[in-house]
Amino acid sequence: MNKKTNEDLLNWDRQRTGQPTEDLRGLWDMSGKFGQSYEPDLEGGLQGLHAKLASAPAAAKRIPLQRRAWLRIAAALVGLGLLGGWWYQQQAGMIAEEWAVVTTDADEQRELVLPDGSSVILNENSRLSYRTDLATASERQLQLRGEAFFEVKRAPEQPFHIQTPGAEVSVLGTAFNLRAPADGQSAELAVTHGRVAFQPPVGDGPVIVTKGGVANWQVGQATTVQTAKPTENYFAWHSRSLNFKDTPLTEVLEHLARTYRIEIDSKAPLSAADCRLTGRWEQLSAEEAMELLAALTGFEVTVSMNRTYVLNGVCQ
Amino acid sequence: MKPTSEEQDLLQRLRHGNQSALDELFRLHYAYLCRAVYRVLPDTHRAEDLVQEVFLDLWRKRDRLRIDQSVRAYLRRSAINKTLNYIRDQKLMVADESHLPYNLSSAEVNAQQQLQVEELQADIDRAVASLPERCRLVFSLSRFEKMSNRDIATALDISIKTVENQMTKALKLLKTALKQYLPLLLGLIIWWIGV
Repeated sequence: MNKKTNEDLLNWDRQRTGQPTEDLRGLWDMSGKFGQSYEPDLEGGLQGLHAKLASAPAAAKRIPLQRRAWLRIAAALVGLGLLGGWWYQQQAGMIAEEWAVVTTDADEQRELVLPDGSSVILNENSRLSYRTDLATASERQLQLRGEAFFEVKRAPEQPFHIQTPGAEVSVLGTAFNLRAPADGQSAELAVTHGRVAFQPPVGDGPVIVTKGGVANWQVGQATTVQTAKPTENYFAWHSRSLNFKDTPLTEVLEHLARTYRIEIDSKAPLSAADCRLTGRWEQLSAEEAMELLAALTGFEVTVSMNRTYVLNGVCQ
Repeated sequence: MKPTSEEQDLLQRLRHGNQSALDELFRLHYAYLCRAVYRVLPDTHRAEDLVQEVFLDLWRKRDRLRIDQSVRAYLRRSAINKTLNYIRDQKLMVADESHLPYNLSSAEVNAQQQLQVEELQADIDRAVASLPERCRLVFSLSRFEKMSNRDIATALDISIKTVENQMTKALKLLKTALKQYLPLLLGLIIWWIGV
Protein backbone atom coordinates (compact mmCIF):
# COMPACT_ATOMS: atom_id res chain seq x y z
CA MET A 1 0.00 0.00 0.00
CA ASN A 2 1.23 3.42 -0.67
CA LYS A 3 -1.01 5.84 1.13
CA LYS A 4 -0.16 7.09 4.60
CA THR A 5 -3.70 6.52 5.81
CA ASN A 6 -3.66 2.94 4.60
CA GLU A 7 -0.30 2.33 6.20
CA ASP A 8 -1.67 3.72 9.42
CA LEU A 9 -4.63 1.38 9.20
CA LEU A 10 -2.35 -1.59 8.65
CA ASN A 11 -0.08 -0.65 11.52
CA TRP A 12 -3.01 -0.07 13.81
CA ASP A 13 -4.41 -3.44 12.97
CA ARG A 14 -1.08 -5.12 13.40
CA GLN A 15 -0.69 -3.59 16.85
CA ARG A 16 -4.19 -4.48 17.83
CA THR A 17 -4.18 -8.10 16.79
CA GLY A 18 -0.46 -8.79 16.93
CA GLN A 19 -0.81 -10.57 13.61
CA PRO A 20 0.47 -9.55 10.18
CA THR A 21 -2.29 -8.38 7.93
CA GLU A 22 -1.20 -10.41 4.99
CA ASP A 23 -4.72 -10.80 3.81
CA LEU A 24 -5.12 -7.11 3.38
CA ARG A 25 -1.86 -6.94 1.51
CA GLY A 26 -2.93 -9.91 -0.52
CA LEU A 27 -6.17 -8.19 -1.32
CA TRP A 28 -4.38 -5.01 -2.23
CA ASP A 29 -1.97 -6.84 -4.52
CA MET A 30 -4.75 -8.83 -6.11
CA SER A 31 -6.88 -5.82 -6.78
CA GLY A 32 -3.97 -4.41 -8.71
CA LYS A 33 -4.62 -7.01 -11.34
CA PHE A 34 -7.93 -5.39 -12.24
CA GLY A 35 -8.14 -4.82 -15.96
CA GLN A 36 -4.75 -6.39 -16.51
CA SER A 37 -5.86 -8.60 -19.35
CA TYR A 38 -7.39 -5.72 -21.24
CA GLU A 39 -5.62 -5.39 -24.53
CA PRO A 40 -7.16 -2.72 -26.74
CA ASP A 41 -7.14 -3.14 -30.49
CA LEU A 42 -4.25 -0.95 -31.60
CA GLU A 43 -4.98 -0.78 -35.31
CA GLY A 44 -8.65 -0.17 -34.64
CA GLY A 45 -7.70 2.59 -32.26
CA LEU A 46 -5.38 4.17 -34.82
CA GLN A 47 -8.18 4.15 -37.35
CA GLY A 48 -10.43 5.75 -34.75
CA LEU A 49 -7.86 8.50 -34.23
CA HIS A 50 -7.54 9.14 -37.97
CA ALA A 51 -11.29 9.29 -38.29
CA LYS A 52 -11.43 11.90 -35.54
CA LEU A 53 -8.64 13.91 -37.15
CA ALA A 54 -10.46 13.96 -40.46
CA SER A 55 -13.97 14.74 -39.33
CA ALA A 56 -15.57 18.06 -38.43
CA PRO A 57 -16.79 18.54 -34.88
CA ALA A 58 -20.28 17.12 -34.36
CA ALA A 59 -22.26 19.37 -32.03
CA ALA A 60 -21.30 23.03 -31.89
CA LYS A 61 -19.60 24.85 -34.74
CA ARG A 62 -15.95 25.34 -33.85
CA ILE A 63 -14.13 28.47 -34.95
CA PRO A 64 -10.37 27.83 -34.96
CA LEU A 65 -8.12 30.81 -34.37
CA GLN A 66 -4.58 31.25 -35.55
CA ARG A 67 -2.13 29.32 -33.52
CA ARG A 68 -0.14 31.45 -31.19
CA ALA A 69 3.26 30.89 -29.73
CA TRP A 70 2.23 32.62 -26.53
CA LEU A 71 -1.03 32.76 -24.67
CA ARG A 72 -2.22 35.41 -22.29
CA ILE A 73 -2.45 33.84 -18.88
CA ALA A 74 -5.20 35.56 -16.95
CA ALA A 75 -5.74 35.21 -13.23
CA ALA A 76 -8.87 33.34 -14.25
CA LEU A 77 -6.82 30.31 -15.19
CA VAL A 78 -5.60 29.91 -11.61
CA GLY A 79 -8.97 28.43 -10.86
CA LEU A 80 -8.63 25.86 -13.63
CA GLY A 81 -6.12 23.62 -11.89
CA LEU A 82 -5.59 20.09 -13.10
CA LEU A 83 -7.66 18.16 -10.63
CA GLY A 84 -8.56 20.54 -7.86
CA GLY A 85 -11.54 22.73 -8.18
CA TRP A 86 -13.10 21.24 -11.24
CA TRP A 87 -16.25 20.38 -9.42
CA TYR A 88 -18.59 23.25 -8.61
CA GLN A 89 -20.18 23.06 -5.21
CA GLN A 90 -23.46 23.75 -6.94
CA GLN A 91 -23.10 20.58 -8.90
CA ALA A 92 -24.02 18.45 -5.96
CA GLY A 93 -27.51 19.70 -6.65
CA MET A 94 -27.13 19.29 -10.40
CA ILE A 95 -26.92 15.55 -10.29
CA ALA A 96 -30.65 15.16 -10.11
CA GLU A 97 -31.32 17.48 -13.10
CA GLU A 98 -30.45 17.39 -16.76
CA TRP A 99 -27.65 19.70 -17.77
CA ALA A 100 -25.66 19.98 -20.97
CA VAL A 101 -22.09 21.23 -20.93
CA VAL A 102 -19.96 22.91 -23.57
CA THR A 103 -16.31 23.71 -23.00
CA THR A 104 -13.57 25.35 -24.99
CA ASP A 105 -9.83 24.93 -24.83
CA ALA A 106 -7.22 27.59 -25.35
CA ASP A 107 -7.41 29.10 -28.85
CA GLU A 108 -10.87 27.79 -29.42
CA GLN A 109 -14.20 29.58 -29.82
CA ARG A 110 -17.52 27.81 -30.16
CA GLU A 111 -20.88 28.94 -31.42
CA LEU A 112 -24.07 27.18 -30.48
CA VAL A 113 -27.81 27.54 -30.45
CA LEU A 114 -29.56 26.72 -27.21
CA PRO A 115 -32.82 24.76 -26.99
CA ASP A 116 -34.79 27.98 -26.49
CA GLY A 117 -33.42 29.54 -29.67
CA SER A 118 -30.91 31.81 -27.96
CA SER A 119 -27.42 31.77 -29.38
CA VAL A 120 -24.11 31.79 -27.57
CA ILE A 121 -20.56 32.31 -28.73
CA LEU A 122 -18.13 30.92 -26.19
CA ASN A 123 -14.63 32.35 -25.95
CA GLU A 124 -11.56 30.25 -25.27
CA ASN A 125 -10.96 28.50 -21.96
CA SER A 126 -14.60 28.76 -21.05
CA ARG A 127 -17.32 26.50 -19.79
CA LEU A 128 -21.05 26.91 -20.28
CA SER A 129 -23.64 24.59 -18.83
CA TYR A 130 -27.35 24.90 -19.33
CA ARG A 131 -30.43 23.02 -18.29
CA THR A 132 -31.77 20.95 -21.12
CA ASP A 133 -35.33 22.10 -20.42
CA LEU A 134 -34.44 25.64 -21.50
CA ALA A 135 -37.21 25.79 -24.06
CA THR A 136 -39.97 24.99 -21.62
CA ALA A 137 -38.82 25.76 -18.05
CA SER A 138 -40.32 28.69 -16.18
CA GLU A 139 -36.81 29.98 -15.61
CA ARG A 140 -34.02 29.43 -18.13
CA GLN A 141 -30.94 28.47 -16.14
CA LEU A 142 -27.30 28.48 -17.18
CA GLN A 143 -23.84 28.61 -15.66
CA LEU A 144 -20.82 30.31 -17.19
CA ARG A 145 -17.17 30.25 -16.33
CA GLY A 146 -15.02 32.33 -18.68
CA GLU A 147 -16.47 34.57 -21.39
CA ALA A 148 -19.35 34.39 -23.85
CA PHE A 149 -21.52 36.56 -26.04
CA PHE A 150 -25.23 35.88 -25.73
CA GLU A 151 -28.18 36.71 -27.94
CA VAL A 152 -31.11 35.79 -25.82
CA LYS A 153 -34.40 34.94 -27.43
CA ARG A 154 -37.05 37.18 -26.01
CA ALA A 155 -39.41 35.34 -23.63
CA PRO A 156 -40.82 37.65 -20.97
CA GLU A 157 -42.46 34.81 -19.05
CA GLN A 158 -39.19 32.93 -18.80
CA PRO A 159 -36.27 34.91 -17.37
CA PHE A 160 -32.87 33.81 -18.66
CA HIS A 161 -30.61 33.36 -15.67
CA ILE A 162 -26.83 32.90 -15.75
CA GLN A 163 -24.84 32.00 -12.67
CA THR A 164 -21.11 32.62 -12.68
CA PRO A 165 -18.39 32.34 -10.04
CA GLY A 166 -18.72 36.13 -9.73
CA ALA A 167 -21.95 37.93 -10.51
CA GLU A 168 -25.33 36.56 -11.58
CA VAL A 169 -27.12 37.85 -14.62
CA SER A 170 -30.81 37.81 -15.49
CA VAL A 171 -32.19 38.77 -18.86
CA LEU A 172 -35.44 38.89 -20.75
CA GLY A 173 -34.37 39.35 -24.33
CA THR A 174 -31.18 41.00 -25.36
CA ALA A 175 -27.59 40.75 -26.63
CA PHE A 176 -24.65 41.16 -24.27
CA ASN A 177 -21.11 40.06 -23.54
CA LEU A 178 -20.43 38.48 -20.18
CA ARG A 179 -17.00 37.91 -18.78
CA ALA A 180 -16.79 35.83 -15.60
CA PRO A 181 -13.38 34.38 -14.71
CA ALA A 182 -13.31 31.11 -12.82
CA ASP A 183 -11.77 32.61 -9.70
CA GLY A 184 -14.96 34.47 -8.91
CA GLN A 185 -13.09 37.68 -8.18
CA SER A 186 -14.70 39.79 -10.85
CA ALA A 187 -17.39 39.96 -13.49
CA GLU A 188 -18.01 42.27 -16.43
CA LEU A 189 -21.18 42.76 -18.44
CA ALA A 190 -21.49 44.82 -21.63
CA VAL A 191 -25.00 45.18 -23.07
CA THR A 192 -25.51 45.62 -26.80
CA HIS A 193 -29.25 45.89 -26.66
CA GLY A 194 -32.05 45.11 -24.25
CA ARG A 195 -32.06 45.10 -20.47
CA VAL A 196 -29.96 42.89 -18.23
CA ALA A 197 -29.98 42.61 -14.43
CA PHE A 198 -26.48 42.26 -13.00
CA GLN A 199 -26.23 40.93 -9.46
CA PRO A 200 -22.83 40.76 -7.77
CA PRO A 201 -22.43 38.27 -4.94
CA VAL A 202 -22.19 41.01 -2.29
CA GLY A 203 -23.81 44.37 -1.99
CA ASP A 204 -27.37 45.49 -2.58
CA GLY A 205 -29.85 44.51 -5.21
CA PRO A 206 -29.22 43.96 -8.88
CA VAL A 207 -28.17 46.74 -11.22
CA ILE A 208 -30.14 47.06 -14.46
CA VAL A 209 -27.83 47.58 -17.42
CA THR A 210 -29.19 48.75 -20.75
CA LYS A 211 -27.84 49.33 -24.22
CA GLY A 212 -24.44 50.95 -24.17
CA GLY A 213 -23.89 50.06 -20.53
CA VAL A 214 -20.95 48.23 -19.01
CA ALA A 215 -21.20 46.94 -15.45
CA ASN A 216 -18.06 45.92 -13.65
CA TRP A 217 -17.74 44.17 -10.36
CA GLN A 218 -14.51 43.32 -8.57
CA VAL A 219 -14.19 41.72 -5.19
CA GLY A 220 -13.78 44.35 -2.53
CA GLN A 221 -15.12 47.15 -4.72
CA ALA A 222 -18.54 48.55 -5.46
CA THR A 223 -20.13 47.71 -8.76
CA THR A 224 -19.57 50.40 -11.37
CA VAL A 225 -21.73 51.05 -14.39
CA GLN A 226 -20.55 53.08 -17.33
CA THR A 227 -22.96 54.23 -19.98
CA ALA A 228 -22.87 55.29 -23.60
CA LYS A 229 -20.01 53.02 -24.51
CA PRO A 230 -19.58 51.27 -27.83
CA THR A 231 -20.19 47.92 -26.23
CA GLU A 232 -19.44 46.10 -29.45
CA ASN A 233 -15.77 46.43 -28.50
CA TYR A 234 -16.34 44.01 -25.65
CA PHE A 235 -17.28 41.42 -28.18
CA ALA A 236 -14.39 42.12 -30.52
CA TRP A 237 -12.66 38.96 -29.36
CA HIS A 238 -14.97 37.27 -31.80
CA SER A 239 -16.18 39.89 -34.27
CA ARG A 240 -12.79 41.54 -34.81
CA SER A 241 -14.77 44.72 -35.11
CA LEU A 242 -13.60 47.66 -33.06
CA ASN A 243 -15.34 51.00 -32.94
CA PHE A 244 -13.71 53.93 -31.25
CA LYS A 245 -15.60 57.17 -30.67
CA ASP A 246 -13.45 59.73 -29.00
CA THR A 247 -12.13 56.90 -26.92
CA PRO A 248 -9.31 57.68 -24.50
CA LEU A 249 -6.01 56.02 -25.24
CA THR A 250 -5.96 53.85 -22.13
CA GLU A 251 -9.26 52.34 -23.12
CA VAL A 252 -8.13 51.77 -26.69
CA LEU A 253 -5.10 49.90 -25.43
CA GLU A 254 -7.22 47.80 -23.09
CA HIS A 255 -9.50 46.75 -25.90
CA LEU A 256 -6.61 45.97 -28.20
CA ALA A 257 -4.97 43.84 -25.54
CA ARG A 258 -8.18 41.94 -24.89
CA THR A 259 -9.23 41.49 -28.48
CA TYR A 260 -5.91 40.33 -29.84
CA ARG A 261 -4.62 38.74 -26.67
CA ILE A 262 -1.41 40.71 -26.72
CA GLU A 263 0.38 42.64 -24.05
CA ILE A 264 1.01 46.32 -24.52
CA ASP A 265 3.81 47.85 -22.58
CA SER A 266 3.64 51.59 -22.80
CA LYS A 267 6.72 53.60 -22.06
CA ALA A 268 4.85 56.70 -23.12
CA PRO A 269 2.68 58.79 -20.80
CA LEU A 270 -0.86 57.53 -21.17
CA SER A 271 -2.81 60.10 -19.31
CA ALA A 272 -2.65 62.75 -22.01
CA ALA A 273 -6.19 64.07 -21.89
CA ASP A 274 -6.38 64.93 -25.53
CA CYS A 275 -5.15 61.59 -26.77
CA ARG A 276 -8.34 60.06 -28.09
CA LEU A 277 -9.15 57.92 -31.05
CA THR A 278 -12.09 57.68 -33.38
CA GLY A 279 -12.68 55.20 -36.12
CA ARG A 280 -13.82 51.74 -37.12
CA TRP A 281 -11.22 49.06 -37.15
CA GLU A 282 -12.59 46.01 -38.91
CA GLN A 283 -11.06 42.59 -39.40
CA LEU A 284 -7.53 43.61 -38.62
CA SER A 285 -4.81 41.34 -37.43
CA ALA A 286 -2.91 42.25 -34.30
CA GLU A 287 0.01 43.56 -36.33
CA GLU A 288 -2.22 45.67 -38.56
CA ALA A 289 -4.03 47.09 -35.58
CA MET A 290 -0.81 48.08 -33.87
CA GLU A 291 0.51 49.62 -37.06
CA LEU A 292 -2.69 51.62 -37.37
CA LEU A 293 -2.32 52.71 -33.78
CA ALA A 294 1.20 53.86 -34.50
CA ALA A 295 0.09 55.76 -37.58
CA LEU A 296 -2.75 57.51 -35.83
CA THR A 297 -0.95 58.44 -32.66
CA GLY A 298 2.60 58.99 -33.74
CA PHE A 299 3.81 56.41 -31.26
CA GLU A 300 6.68 54.20 -32.12
CA VAL A 301 5.53 50.64 -31.83
CA THR A 302 7.97 47.79 -31.55
CA VAL A 303 7.39 44.13 -31.06
CA SER A 304 9.15 42.63 -28.12
CA MET A 305 9.22 38.91 -27.49
CA ASN A 306 6.08 36.85 -27.72
CA ARG A 307 3.33 39.22 -28.73
CA THR A 308 4.30 42.08 -26.48
CA TYR A 309 4.20 45.50 -28.08
CA VAL A 310 6.14 48.42 -26.71
CA LEU A 311 4.98 51.99 -27.23
CA ASN A 312 7.33 54.89 -27.22
CA GLY A 313 6.96 58.53 -27.88
CA VAL A 314 4.17 60.98 -27.47
CA CYS A 315 0.62 60.93 -28.68
CA GLN A 316 -0.30 63.55 -31.26
CA MET B 1 11.74 12.48 -15.36
CA LYS B 2 12.22 14.43 -18.55
CA PRO B 3 11.51 13.25 -22.06
CA THR B 4 14.25 10.96 -23.37
CA SER B 5 16.19 12.02 -26.42
CA GLU B 6 14.17 9.67 -28.60
CA GLU B 7 11.03 11.25 -27.19
CA GLN B 8 12.46 14.70 -27.87
CA ASP B 9 12.97 13.71 -31.50
CA LEU B 10 9.42 12.48 -31.77
CA LEU B 11 8.08 15.62 -30.19
CA GLN B 12 10.15 17.73 -32.53
CA ARG B 13 8.78 15.91 -35.54
CA LEU B 14 5.31 16.27 -34.10
CA ARG B 15 5.79 20.00 -33.74
CA HIS B 16 6.69 20.20 -37.38
CA GLY B 17 3.37 18.72 -38.31
CA ASN B 18 4.61 15.22 -38.99
CA GLN B 19 1.61 12.98 -38.54
CA SER B 20 3.64 9.81 -38.56
CA ALA B 21 5.18 11.04 -35.30
CA LEU B 22 1.69 11.17 -33.86
CA ASP B 23 1.03 7.62 -35.06
CA GLU B 24 4.28 6.46 -33.51
CA LEU B 25 3.42 8.03 -30.17
CA PHE B 26 0.03 6.40 -30.44
CA ARG B 27 1.51 2.95 -30.97
CA LEU B 28 3.89 3.42 -28.08
CA HIS B 29 1.37 4.55 -25.51
CA TYR B 30 -2.15 3.55 -26.55
CA ALA B 31 -2.46 0.25 -24.68
CA TYR B 32 -0.93 1.66 -21.52
CA LEU B 33 -3.24 4.67 -21.54
CA CYS B 34 -6.33 2.61 -22.28
CA ARG B 35 -5.60 0.39 -19.32
CA ALA B 36 -5.04 3.39 -17.05
CA VAL B 37 -8.34 4.95 -18.13
CA TYR B 38 -10.15 1.62 -17.95
CA ARG B 39 -9.18 1.25 -14.33
CA VAL B 40 -10.98 4.47 -13.51
CA LEU B 41 -13.84 4.02 -15.98
CA PRO B 42 -14.29 0.31 -16.73
CA ASP B 43 -15.81 0.65 -20.19
CA THR B 44 -13.51 -0.43 -23.00
CA HIS B 45 -15.27 1.51 -25.75
CA ARG B 46 -15.37 4.69 -23.74
CA ALA B 47 -11.76 4.24 -22.56
CA GLU B 48 -10.53 3.82 -26.14
CA ASP B 49 -12.55 6.81 -27.28
CA LEU B 50 -11.17 9.03 -24.53
CA VAL B 51 -7.59 7.99 -25.22
CA GLN B 52 -8.01 8.71 -28.93
CA GLU B 53 -9.25 12.16 -27.94
CA VAL B 54 -6.10 12.65 -25.88
CA PHE B 55 -4.04 12.09 -29.02
CA LEU B 56 -6.36 14.36 -30.97
CA ASP B 57 -5.71 17.08 -28.42
CA LEU B 58 -1.99 16.39 -28.59
CA TRP B 59 -2.08 16.92 -32.33
CA ARG B 60 -4.07 20.13 -32.01
CA LYS B 61 -1.71 21.56 -29.45
CA ARG B 62 1.44 20.27 -31.07
CA ASP B 63 3.13 23.61 -31.56
CA ARG B 64 2.36 24.74 -28.02
CA LEU B 65 3.45 21.67 -26.11
CA ARG B 66 5.59 22.06 -23.06
CA ILE B 67 6.35 18.65 -21.61
CA ASP B 68 8.67 18.55 -18.63
CA GLN B 69 8.07 14.97 -17.68
CA SER B 70 8.16 11.75 -19.62
CA VAL B 71 5.72 11.74 -22.52
CA ARG B 72 3.92 8.78 -21.00
CA ALA B 73 3.41 10.57 -17.68
CA TYR B 74 2.13 13.67 -19.47
CA LEU B 75 -0.30 11.67 -21.58
CA ARG B 76 -1.48 9.67 -18.60
CA ARG B 77 -2.26 12.81 -16.67
CA SER B 78 -4.20 14.23 -19.63
CA ALA B 79 -6.09 10.98 -20.04
CA ILE B 80 -7.11 10.73 -16.39
CA ASN B 81 -8.20 14.37 -16.31
CA LYS B 82 -10.27 13.82 -19.40
CA THR B 83 -11.79 10.73 -17.81
CA LEU B 84 -12.69 12.52 -14.60
CA ASN B 85 -14.21 15.37 -16.60
CA TYR B 86 -16.20 12.85 -18.60
CA ILE B 87 -17.47 11.16 -15.44
CA ARG B 88 -18.43 14.53 -14.03
CA ASP B 89 -20.15 15.76 -17.19
CA GLN B 90 -22.04 12.56 -17.74
CA LYS B 91 -22.96 12.56 -14.07
CA LEU B 92 -21.83 8.99 -13.70
CA MET B 93 -20.86 9.43 -10.08
CA VAL B 94 -24.38 9.33 -8.79
CA ALA B 95 -25.74 8.21 -5.46
CA ASP B 96 -23.71 5.84 -3.43
CA GLU B 97 -25.49 2.59 -4.00
CA SER B 98 -25.92 2.71 -7.72
CA HIS B 99 -24.20 0.26 -10.03
CA LEU B 100 -23.48 0.93 -13.64
CA PRO B 101 -23.51 -1.82 -16.26
CA TYR B 102 -19.93 -1.68 -17.45
CA ASN B 103 -18.48 -3.71 -20.31
CA LEU B 104 -15.90 -5.89 -18.67
CA SER B 105 -12.97 -6.57 -20.93
CA SER B 106 -12.07 -9.87 -19.41
CA ALA B 107 -15.59 -11.24 -19.57
CA GLU B 108 -15.19 -11.83 -23.29
CA VAL B 109 -11.78 -13.40 -22.94
CA ASN B 110 -12.68 -15.62 -20.04
CA ALA B 111 -15.95 -17.03 -21.26
CA GLN B 112 -14.10 -20.01 -22.71
CA GLN B 113 -11.13 -20.18 -20.38
CA GLN B 114 -11.07 -22.75 -17.62
CA LEU B 115 -7.64 -22.13 -16.18
CA GLN B 116 -7.71 -20.82 -12.66
CA VAL B 117 -5.52 -17.86 -13.53
CA GLU B 118 -8.11 -16.57 -15.95
CA GLU B 119 -10.87 -17.29 -13.46
CA LEU B 120 -9.04 -15.28 -10.87
CA GLN B 121 -8.66 -12.42 -13.32
CA ALA B 122 -12.33 -12.58 -14.22
CA ASP B 123 -13.32 -12.63 -10.58
CA ILE B 124 -11.08 -9.72 -9.78
CA ASP B 125 -12.43 -7.74 -12.70
CA ARG B 126 -15.98 -8.48 -11.73
CA ALA B 127 -15.38 -7.70 -8.09
CA VAL B 128 -13.91 -4.28 -8.77
CA ALA B 129 -16.32 -3.28 -11.51
CA SER B 130 -19.33 -4.17 -9.40
CA LEU B 131 -18.43 -1.97 -6.49
CA PRO B 132 -20.94 0.84 -6.04
CA GLU B 133 -19.93 3.58 -8.42
CA ARG B 134 -18.59 6.18 -6.04
CA CYS B 135 -16.87 3.54 -3.97
CA ARG B 136 -15.21 2.11 -7.06
CA LEU B 137 -14.07 5.49 -8.25
CA VAL B 138 -12.46 6.33 -4.91
CA PHE B 139 -10.83 2.92 -4.78
CA SER B 140 -9.50 3.16 -8.34
CA LEU B 141 -8.10 6.64 -7.89
CA SER B 142 -6.28 5.46 -4.79
CA ARG B 143 -5.15 2.10 -6.06
CA PHE B 144 -4.28 2.91 -9.67
CA GLU B 145 -3.72 6.65 -9.84
CA LYS B 146 -1.99 6.58 -6.47
CA MET B 147 -3.81 9.69 -5.38
CA SER B 148 -3.74 10.65 -1.73
CA ASN B 149 -7.02 10.64 0.15
CA ARG B 150 -6.89 14.38 0.23
CA ASP B 151 -6.42 14.70 -3.53
CA ILE B 152 -9.29 12.33 -4.15
CA ALA B 153 -11.47 14.37 -1.80
CA THR B 154 -10.62 17.51 -3.73
CA ALA B 155 -11.10 15.94 -7.14
CA LEU B 156 -14.51 14.51 -6.31
CA ASP B 157 -15.64 17.30 -3.99
CA ILE B 158 -16.29 15.03 -1.04
CA SER B 159 -14.81 15.04 2.45
CA ILE B 160 -11.66 13.15 3.36
CA LYS B 161 -13.73 11.18 5.83
CA THR B 162 -15.99 10.05 3.02
CA VAL B 163 -12.95 8.98 1.03
CA GLU B 164 -11.70 6.92 3.96
CA ASN B 165 -15.12 5.36 4.45
CA GLN B 166 -15.39 4.50 0.77
CA MET B 167 -11.94 2.92 0.80
CA THR B 168 -12.85 0.82 3.83
CA LYS B 169 -16.07 -0.19 2.19
CA ALA B 170 -14.28 -1.11 -1.04
CA LEU B 171 -11.78 -3.30 0.77
CA LYS B 172 -14.59 -4.97 2.71
CA LEU B 173 -16.61 -5.70 -0.43
CA LEU B 174 -13.60 -6.88 -2.39
CA LYS B 175 -12.57 -9.14 0.42
CA THR B 176 -15.98 -10.74 0.43
CA ALA B 177 -15.96 -11.16 -3.33
CA LEU B 178 -12.47 -12.62 -3.42
CA LYS B 179 -12.25 -14.43 -0.12
CA GLN B 180 -11.73 -17.83 -1.72
CA TYR B 181 -8.37 -16.58 -3.00
CA LEU B 182 -7.10 -15.26 0.26
CA PRO B 183 -4.94 -17.67 2.21
CA LEU B 184 -6.02 -17.07 5.82
CA LEU B 185 -9.38 -17.16 7.44
CA LEU B 186 -10.53 -13.60 7.58
CA GLY B 187 -12.50 -13.44 10.78
CA LEU B 188 -10.19 -10.93 12.37
CA ILE B 189 -10.02 -8.77 9.28
CA ILE B 190 -13.78 -8.78 8.91
CA TRP B 191 -14.07 -7.61 12.47
CA TRP B 192 -11.51 -4.87 11.95
CA ILE B 193 -13.08 -3.56 8.79
CA GLY B 194 -16.49 -3.68 10.37
CA VAL B 195 -15.37 -1.44 13.24
